[in-house]
Amino acid sequence: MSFQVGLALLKAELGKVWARPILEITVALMSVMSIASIKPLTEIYGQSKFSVAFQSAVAESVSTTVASLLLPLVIMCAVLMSLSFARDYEQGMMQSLLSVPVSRKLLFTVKFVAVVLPLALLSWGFTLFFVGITFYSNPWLVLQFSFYALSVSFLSLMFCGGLGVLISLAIKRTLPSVLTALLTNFFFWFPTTINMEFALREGASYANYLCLTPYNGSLTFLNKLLNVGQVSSFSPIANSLQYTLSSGSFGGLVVFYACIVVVPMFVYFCRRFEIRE
Amino acid sequence: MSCKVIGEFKSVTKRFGATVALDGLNLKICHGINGLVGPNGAGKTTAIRLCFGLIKPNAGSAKLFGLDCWRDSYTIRSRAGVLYEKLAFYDNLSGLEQLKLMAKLKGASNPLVELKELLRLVELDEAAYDRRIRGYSAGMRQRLGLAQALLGNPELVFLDEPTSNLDPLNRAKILELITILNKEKGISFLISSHILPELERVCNNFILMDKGKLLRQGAIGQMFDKDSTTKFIVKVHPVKPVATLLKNEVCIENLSIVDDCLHVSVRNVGLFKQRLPLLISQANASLDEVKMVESDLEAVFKLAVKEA
Repeated sequence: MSFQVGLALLKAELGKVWARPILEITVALMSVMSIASIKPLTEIYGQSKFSVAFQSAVAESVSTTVASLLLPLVIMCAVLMSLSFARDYEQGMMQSLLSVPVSRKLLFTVKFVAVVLPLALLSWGFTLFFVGITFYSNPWLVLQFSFYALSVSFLSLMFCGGLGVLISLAIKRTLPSVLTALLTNFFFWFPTTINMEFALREGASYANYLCLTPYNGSLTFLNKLLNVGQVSSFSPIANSLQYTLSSGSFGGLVVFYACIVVVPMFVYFCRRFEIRE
Repeated sequence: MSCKVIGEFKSVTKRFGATVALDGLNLKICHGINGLVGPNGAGKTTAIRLCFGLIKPNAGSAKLFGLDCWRDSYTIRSRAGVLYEKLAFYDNLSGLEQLKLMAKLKGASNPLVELKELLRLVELDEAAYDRRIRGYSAGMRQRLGLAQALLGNPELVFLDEPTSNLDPLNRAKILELITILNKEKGISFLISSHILPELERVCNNFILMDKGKLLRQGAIGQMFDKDSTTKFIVKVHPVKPVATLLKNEVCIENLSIVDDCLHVSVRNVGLFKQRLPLLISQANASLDEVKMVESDLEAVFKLAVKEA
């Protein structure tokens, strides 16, 4: 019964959150960003080395596509999460839903999933499509690698969405919440544009810690899973945290970031949240 | 006060930072139709939200059906319905789809026929059943909200300004519907409204609030038993014998004759209403009109706020 109720609520929430033109805007933004990341296999390899080179090219393509999709994902997640929570609060939908016998746990989960799940699936779909059209000869490999992208995008979106909920429930006004969530997430996304190697060479020691930030951490985790962007032990940056920490450490870091805001917000929403205006 | 109590607030206090929304509020919600009256910011909506567990009181106890409003809010929500002043729906759904969804969320097993019957009961235009809610007028949204509040055969329905978006004709219909539902289905109501004459027409228990506190509670007659006076203009022929008789009545505070009409300040409205016809027949006079300068509830409300 509760599952059916959850499904019915999820369907209604999906219809509301992804109403026109939100889906169209998201697809357009993601298409523009993914097209720029297409890198065809142009070098000529010997037959013995070809499968390794092909595999590495697919992995690299998945990595760059996910990295380029991160900005539209972060933007849309921040906007939609704020719209979902702050607008519902402001317009009175939240009090209407909390006045029917639906558990707060279910309501929070449904509202969160209605934003995060479609975005994660879209990101996976785009990665699959844009990597797939280049490396169509081995769809199984593309499918396998793009699954890593799904998990990493999902975990990044958990952090981004958590921030969106935190800001929405703190500000409780739609427009200020959307703008604050956008700026905050942009601030967290911005370090992904900094070239760590270049910054370290220039003597900026902070660059060593950039890989520990939420979105850099998730991209580094993906690269480690796909075995992309390795450096030789003679490289001056070989001793940096990005290369010395294991993929497991980055995995733990990403899971930590995924839960750090969402879990307290979930507990707050279920136990303490009040309609105050 | 003799009433079958279904809800009770005992010294309920709710603070939002420095603002005290409810200040040791004591009130009883009776079986029947309750009117919740108070100026803006009196704490009426806060009290309603508290009943549904949307707000946790800082002190005191709030109970509905004998259940704690915060701890047992889930059970309360399945036994009570609500129509908030701020109407919100899934605008991308049709009216019927919205009602179906809310019935599911309420765990009500209302089949489609019953849902349509409910929409017919609140007089929502049949052509609008399958239209998206975003195209509804304010009045249609109000009706849909009322249908939603009535889903799942609730024992008690809270209505926050239920007639605010309706024209006078439809307001009367909704009030009539509330009375019928109370009489035929035994559904109790708590109506918060600023349109006092309307409340006066349908409610049998009144709760007067201001600044988060209870000012008065009970039936109109009971509330008048205090030292309040209400002004009446009585047109009778001849005037003088009736005026002489009235002067000796205990319920009369003040009396004057202006333009062949009696201007009377009444201390006890109930008693005045009982005595006036007797005195008129005793004086062999004929009654043309009795006009209250302001409605009973308005008078009580103004006096209660002034006293507070």
